[in-house]
Amino acid sequence: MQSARESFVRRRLLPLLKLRVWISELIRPSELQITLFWAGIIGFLGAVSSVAFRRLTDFVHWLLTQRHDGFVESFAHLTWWQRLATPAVGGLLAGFTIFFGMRLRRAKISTDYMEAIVLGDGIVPARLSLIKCLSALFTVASGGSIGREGPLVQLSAMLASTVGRWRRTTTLQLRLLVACGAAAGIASAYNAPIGGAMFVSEIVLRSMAMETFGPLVFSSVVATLTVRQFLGGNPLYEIPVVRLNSNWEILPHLLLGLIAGLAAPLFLRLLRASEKGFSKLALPAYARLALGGLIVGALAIFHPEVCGNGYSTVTQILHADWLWQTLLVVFIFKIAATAATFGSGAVGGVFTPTLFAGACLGYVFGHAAQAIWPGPPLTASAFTLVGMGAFLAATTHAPIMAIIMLFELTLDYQIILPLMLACVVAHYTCLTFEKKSIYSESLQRKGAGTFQEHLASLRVADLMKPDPTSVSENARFADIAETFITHRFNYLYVIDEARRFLGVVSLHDIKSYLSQPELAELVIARDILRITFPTISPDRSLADALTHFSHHDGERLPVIESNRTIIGTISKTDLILALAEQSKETGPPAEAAPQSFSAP
Amino acid sequence: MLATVGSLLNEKRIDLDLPAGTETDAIQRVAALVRADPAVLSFQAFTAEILAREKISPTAIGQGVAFPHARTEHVNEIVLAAGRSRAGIPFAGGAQTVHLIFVIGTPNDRVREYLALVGGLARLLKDSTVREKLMQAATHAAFLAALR
Repeated sequence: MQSARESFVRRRLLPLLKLRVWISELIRPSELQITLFWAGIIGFLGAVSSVAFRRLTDFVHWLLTQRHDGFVESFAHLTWWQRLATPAVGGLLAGFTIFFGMRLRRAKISTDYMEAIVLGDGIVPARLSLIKCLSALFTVASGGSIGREGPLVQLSAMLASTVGRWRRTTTLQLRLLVACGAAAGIASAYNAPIGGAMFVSEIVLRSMAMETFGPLVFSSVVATLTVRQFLGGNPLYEIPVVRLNSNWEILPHLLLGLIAGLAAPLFLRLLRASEKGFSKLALPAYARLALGGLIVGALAIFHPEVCGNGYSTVTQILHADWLWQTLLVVFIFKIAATAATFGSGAVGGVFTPTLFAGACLGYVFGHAAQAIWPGPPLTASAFTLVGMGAFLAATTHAPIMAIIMLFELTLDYQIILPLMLACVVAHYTCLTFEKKSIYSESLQRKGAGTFQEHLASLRVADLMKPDPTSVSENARFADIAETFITHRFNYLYVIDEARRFLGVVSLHDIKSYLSQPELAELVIARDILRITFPTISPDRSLADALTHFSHHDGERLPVIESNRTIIGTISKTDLILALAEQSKETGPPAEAAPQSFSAP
Repeated sequence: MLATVGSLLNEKRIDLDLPAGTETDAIQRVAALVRADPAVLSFQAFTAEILAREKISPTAIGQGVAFPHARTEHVNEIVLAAGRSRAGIPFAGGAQTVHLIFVIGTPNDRVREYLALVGGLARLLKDSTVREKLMQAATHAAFLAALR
């Protein structure tokens, strides 16, 4: 009876295998091309989680303030004590979430996606990530001076890691998928597909190799398209027309880049000092975050503009004339609120608050420049935009990302020349005074143990995926066909009783006979074995492995010991990813920062 | 496919009247039909491999048909021989009675040709009319004709 059921299942599955063979013969996808497909899936999931988080944040914000407006508008309508209490209550809830959530963990596990990518395990634990995101939800919804993009990226990276682990990918591919998740998170947060891919390439991976950049772009684009379906496709910041009246106007923008480069180290040090200060209080998480919220609330009594990530205020700065003195006060209050929120250990992003600081800096500088500029009147909003980009470039140490991100946020090509110049100048100026970027902590935690340093000495055994799927030399044709159905291989390894490698069964050889039931029990693996098949030993270098692959059209090579025992496989995709990382610049080592900033 | 069977099989490689005996006897007798074929490099080793393969997994597929075969380095071309026993020969430890035996030898590097030959023959012999004609064939020519 069981045999009849099995043969029925086999009959049903064989057409599937034939379809798979037909598709693979038609388009011959490599593992990297298949990674593109999964990058797209991850982009979609990242975008959906992003939209869901936004909706949830809006809902909790409504629960806390009874208003559907943006943070600044909502707080402007609250009484003084409500302004004081709301961020404090949010901080308390966020702190309790962290306090109790972290008590559930059995061991110290990092949830940081950057660490997961850089250190090489690619594992972003789901439960702890969700705890972090829930905590961020309370902070963000209650008006904490923090960006919601941090949890969006965390969620997206966590989903990518879950998908990768479900697919049982290798570590290198898992890291790439998590990177795709991060790119999707950023792209969906800012409606900026190129910026998302560039952020991960320049800041996290520090590589522009096409093997990694392609999937990042794919994921970012799918994420952006998905988010646009839900939220529309307008640029994040609608800006007035920006025009340079003469090439001489580049000069004040150059000076703005210099000032942003000088101001960025102060901003970074302030955030770190705030973190140190809060940690010295030795309070439990709920008290610390409630205190951070209380400070934000106190500042909001006077200036509700300090609440939230600063998006609406930046939009106002771009469109309305502010008294520069008023804006300077708002700027100081906002920096203090951001330092209080981050210093208290709230989970969230620093990206948008950084843009806010840059916008204020640019606007105030623009007004000063207008006052003394001898030529035709300068466009104030141009300085605001360039200030945002330059400050972002300086704090993140990623000028290319900053240029592209600002361009995507505004979709204004006129701004590109002064923006490029100011971003590069700000970056180099900041580097002179501050070696650590805003993401240094996440990227350099555990110091010497980074995967990049390990890469130089990698052998085949280090990239090997153990326990490869194989069949006995006496396996029947039906079993072989079934194994091909359940695994996306073109070659199936055949072993003897002692697990010695005998050769392979090629899907290409047997594809025309898959639907012949007469062969199911008649033919066994040894009848259709290809004896000559390239193998590699575990102690060979990656360069040797590359040479082996250059003579072989398959995606995997069996790794065998000297006694011909098969111990694993090495994938061409993993090899290419590892070699791409080996060749990238690792950059100078930096001191570890005292505490972590949430990213982005 | 049938052209391949036709080109591989000729009257000298068909035994229409296998004597009663064991599975091993029958396989050796049919295999002996290709002993003189220059493609068979070592007849003893070739036969030994056919028998060894049969022990690992019997090649009787039901309906009185068996395909003892081996992919081996002891032939440099595909060889095929056929034998018929009206009385039947016990195969697979007596579990099946086989009337039509096709012995096939294939060089190691000819996987697809091997599958084409075995698959084609198996499909052909699934047809009861073909089997009936083979059993009724009075001459080698009639036997060959039934396979075409």
